[in-house]
Amino acid sequence: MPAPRIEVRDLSKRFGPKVVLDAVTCAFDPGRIGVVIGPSGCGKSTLLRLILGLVQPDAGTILFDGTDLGRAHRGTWESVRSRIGMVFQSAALFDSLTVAENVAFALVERGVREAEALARAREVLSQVGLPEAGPAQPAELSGGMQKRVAIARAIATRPDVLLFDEPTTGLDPVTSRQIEDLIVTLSRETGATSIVVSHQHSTIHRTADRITLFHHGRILGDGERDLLDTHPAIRSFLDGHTMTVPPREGGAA
Amino acid sequence: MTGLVRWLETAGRPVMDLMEVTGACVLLALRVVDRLVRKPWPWRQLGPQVAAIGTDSLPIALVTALSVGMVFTLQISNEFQRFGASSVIGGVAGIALVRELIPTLTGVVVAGRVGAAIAAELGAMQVTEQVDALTAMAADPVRILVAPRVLACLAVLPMLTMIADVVGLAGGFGVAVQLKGLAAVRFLDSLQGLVKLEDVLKGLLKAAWFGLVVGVIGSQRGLSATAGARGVGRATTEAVVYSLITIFVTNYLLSAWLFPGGAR
Repeated sequence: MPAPRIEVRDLSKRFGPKVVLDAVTCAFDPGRIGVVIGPSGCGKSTLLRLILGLVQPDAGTILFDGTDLGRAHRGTWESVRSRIGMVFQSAALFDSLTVAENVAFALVERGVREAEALARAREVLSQVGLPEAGPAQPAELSGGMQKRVAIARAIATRPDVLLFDEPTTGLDPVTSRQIEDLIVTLSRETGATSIVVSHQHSTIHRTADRITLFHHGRILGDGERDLLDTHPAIRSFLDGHTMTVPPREGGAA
Repeated sequence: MTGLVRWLETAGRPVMDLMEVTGACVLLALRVVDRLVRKPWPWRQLGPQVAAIGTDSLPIALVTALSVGMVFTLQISNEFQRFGASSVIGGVAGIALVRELIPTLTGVVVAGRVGAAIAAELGAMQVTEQVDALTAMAADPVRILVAPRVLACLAVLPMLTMIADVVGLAGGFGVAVQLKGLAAVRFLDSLQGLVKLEDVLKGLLKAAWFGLVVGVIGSQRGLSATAGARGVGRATTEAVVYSLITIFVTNYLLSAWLFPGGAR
């Protein structure tokens, strides 16, 4: 069994009085897709932002290939981030750049010559089914196309880790299915560790190798994909029932 | 007692907010300086920013300078001619314009035009996660977004002020000579006698400081924007208000320092 690529230990985060993550522990293995599910506001997206260092934890540890990110200095963070591709919920494409420039951006930043970076951009845009979109402005694209461009941008640098924040939310079933297929294909082809945050039924069922259920900042279920059928809390969430948090040892729920 | 504590809390909140924003702006300015001493340097984005900020602000800065030059000269001409002091009209107008009125009003115009645009643009990027996307790609938003804007403001404001000085003085000259009947040579002699190169350069130094203020405050408020369109609107308004307050307060301090008085 290989060591986890990303390991989270006792991670806690609060925003003001609201506890978003409460001593969360979980791990994500190389080459596998871990799907993090849970109701809105339960801390799923915050987990991704903590892994990227966009917000700082109040307590706990994040290990990236064994490196403790809590002790990382600027150079280490830059090196870690350069190994991660992130697909934001809003796609977050740079609206002052063309689609091709968006996709090539990270490569140019890393010193790749512009012509070479744009050639790679064309390649990954073809991979996500948008070979003609390069000259367009992001605002000219539909929501689904923007998400696919965001995926192309994330994979352009051939990262070891792909983070997807609600990649199919708000999309029609056909587009959702295309993106789910893309996530699985990319994960299998590139061997990247993927973490998919979602509460979409089809995305969860069609992409998960591993499943983790968050609720009120805590993990209620974590394991292989067969938990989708066997774990009571996961089934309850997927069936749309209100979940109740079991009381914590030594404390109130 | 509780009422007093509550009153103190309410009264103290704006002061705390002001100190927080001031601290954040100073930190951001230091981060810009830090980016200038480390590679890669932010030159690639600097040219387009200078061009955009300069061309955006030039027409309104020139209209303002022309107007203030004409109005100020009109007012002092009326009074000075009454007291038989026509011979100093050019010099007094020149000193007032190049030392104070044109640098300050150009700063005000750029705060309204450019500071607001910077805050709105960066604010929109912040609330749509584009700034986070930069960080996630190991690209420093301060290098890519902030440093070019701050440096462009720092460079453009003195340039605009220099052009505005010429236009403002030309406006004053036109009013004094064409409307108030002052001999052109008297206006120019007085201007040459009283206004030194040092006055112009110190005015440009003030303008550079105002550029720094507008660039840093606009960027800081933009990057602090939260909560969608409303947050961006608030950040934009705050950028203009805070820039104007800073310009007016620091203008007095700069003037007291740069022009301490004494024999000329």
